[in-house]
Amino acid sequence: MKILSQHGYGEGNKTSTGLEEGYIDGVVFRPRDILPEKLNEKCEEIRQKFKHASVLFDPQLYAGVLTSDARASLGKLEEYTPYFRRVVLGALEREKNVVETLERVLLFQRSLNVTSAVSPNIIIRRSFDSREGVIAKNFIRLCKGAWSELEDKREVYASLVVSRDALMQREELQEFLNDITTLETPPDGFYLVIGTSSGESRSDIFNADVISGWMLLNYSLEINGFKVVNGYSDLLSPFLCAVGGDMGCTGWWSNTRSFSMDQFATRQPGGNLPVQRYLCNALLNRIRFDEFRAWKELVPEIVNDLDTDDIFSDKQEEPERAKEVIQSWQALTVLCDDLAGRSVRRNLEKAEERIRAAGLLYDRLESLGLRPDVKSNRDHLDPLSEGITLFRRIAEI
Amino acid sequence: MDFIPPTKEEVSARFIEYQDIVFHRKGGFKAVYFGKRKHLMEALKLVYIPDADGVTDEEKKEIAAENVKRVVREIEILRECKTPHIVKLGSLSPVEATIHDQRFIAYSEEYLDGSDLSTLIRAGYHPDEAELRTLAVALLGAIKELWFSLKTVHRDIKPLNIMKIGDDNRKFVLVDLGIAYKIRDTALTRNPANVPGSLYYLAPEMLQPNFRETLDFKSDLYAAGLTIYEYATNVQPFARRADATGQTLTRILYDRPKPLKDLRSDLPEDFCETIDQLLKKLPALRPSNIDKLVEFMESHT
Repeated sequence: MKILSQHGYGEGNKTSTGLEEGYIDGVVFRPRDILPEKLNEKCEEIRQKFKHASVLFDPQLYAGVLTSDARASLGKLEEYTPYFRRVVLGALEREKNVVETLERVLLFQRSLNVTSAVSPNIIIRRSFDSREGVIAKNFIRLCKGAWSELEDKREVYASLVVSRDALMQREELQEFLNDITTLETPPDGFYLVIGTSSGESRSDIFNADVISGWMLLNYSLEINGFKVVNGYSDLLSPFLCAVGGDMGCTGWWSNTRSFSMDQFATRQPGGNLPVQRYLCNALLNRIRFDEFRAWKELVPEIVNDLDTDDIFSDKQEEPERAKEVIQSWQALTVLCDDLAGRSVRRNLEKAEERIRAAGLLYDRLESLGLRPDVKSNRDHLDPLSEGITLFRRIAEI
Repeated sequence: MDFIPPTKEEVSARFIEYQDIVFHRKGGFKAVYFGKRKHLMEALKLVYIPDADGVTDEEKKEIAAENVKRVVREIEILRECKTPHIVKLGSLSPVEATIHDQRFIAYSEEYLDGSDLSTLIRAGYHPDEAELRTLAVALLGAIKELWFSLKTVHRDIKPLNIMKIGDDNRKFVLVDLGIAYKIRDTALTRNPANVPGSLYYLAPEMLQPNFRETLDFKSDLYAAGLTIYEYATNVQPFARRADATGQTLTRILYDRPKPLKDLRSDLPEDFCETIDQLLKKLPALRPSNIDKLVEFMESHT
């Protein structure tokens, strides 16, 4: 399992640092936050410096399909004139239009120095059993053919972008999965993105049905021979890799740690910078940097004991903001390595053990009178545990 | 609806071009004989076209026509098959025959000199890993041909329908496409609630209402996995003598077979896991990349 940088606004040299240190294995660029001319320059630079890095590009077509508001915050996406345009959903009900869209997007990617192409898709908002589901399936079904037409030997990943609400409908999900695993000309892999209703809410993703559905997608696709890249998977990445996912992605802002169509909504300027957080592997969660500093002497188990712990040392008043993500990447990579063994059953047992241990550690913090803040608390543990139990039941593991 | 298979003498009298006819076996709607035609042994198949009871003459005609279509479809599929792992047609083209007021369609298939897996299982035969892998490759080849070339699901893969023959290049052959289903074809089962196939080998999804809408080759992969499992262990995980049909159906839907490794500890873990995975209840959890499966099975043969 690899962790990739989920590119976003204000990249600076975060991705390069992560690659240089060996904490990540590549990057997924997104057009919303990088100009076309800069994009290829970046791709070239990474490919040259890091021969084994995965470099992908999420074309973000889904943003153009749903955003009818002319003032929507599409960022630099509209600069991608070779392929990007706003479309109404109905237009994509015609297969011809789907093929044309695929051709435009993939032709653009052919000229990029990416390691594999990522085909576009719309977002399935309500249900797999809907016209959105049918259109999405057509994008997946037709992408390999469209890529082959371009006679490019690189692999092509089909995007599958699904809202949490759709993912929670188990029967429809299972039928959809069955369809996309029996295609005549399947893609080489999938770029999976699960959308929340609000990028800020932890409970949107930390929900047993969402977690089990996301795990089921990874497990089924892997069993059927596909590579799976999980966009915006952040803290769930290790659990997804435990069941067969190849890559997980996360970045430095909340909108690169979870995906929501909200990020394309008209934006009001202003707002405070978020508090910096330390990704604590033992708690399977991020805690505020001041919590980390205050607790580490009392409960040393919360320290990962990794190189990047220094970023959160007491030497400076606040950790260097640009380095917060570097710590997350290393911590996640270590977790992934631990949970991604050959046997899925064993991986899940390990994951369950880690969740139990995290629960005990929270007990300990509480017994010492330490009260984690609303994002640092144990609310993620029950959904994680239930999600795994539910997944095991569905997957007969 | 049951029929009495004609005696070998009656068959010899009707098909005089065949010599040395012997009765082989009777299935639900089929009687199979072996005989020589131009010195070449063939399997002569008589498919019974039942005369429906309690219906009007018009309906009788319709039902008979449906049954004829079913046989014709089987023959058409066989004619189009190229893989050596599916039985080939013989020299007798389909012909109608009425024997003792019973109506049949007769045609011939190649003679396969060997034994069906069901007989071997009953005899307690214990295949080694290499043979199980060879069986898997043969079944995967047959399923691939049926689905990707002919958009057809066999729907009745089971030990009884697989012949083990003495040919080193073609050790296992799948027979009896009598209920094979061509996707987008008209269903030829009069009552859509009837699930065609053999009870113990029905994939769980075939027990769902409207299963025809979603039927694909993963049901065959399941039955192939189950056949390999049973051949390897002599255990049919869903069959219990005392069970009523309803109980068996519940087992198929909810019971997990014991891991193959528990019953055949001599087999490699990855092989056992692959077979176990083919038996998953959810079709999407069965590996469906046939080329990769074949590559895996051949990697150790």
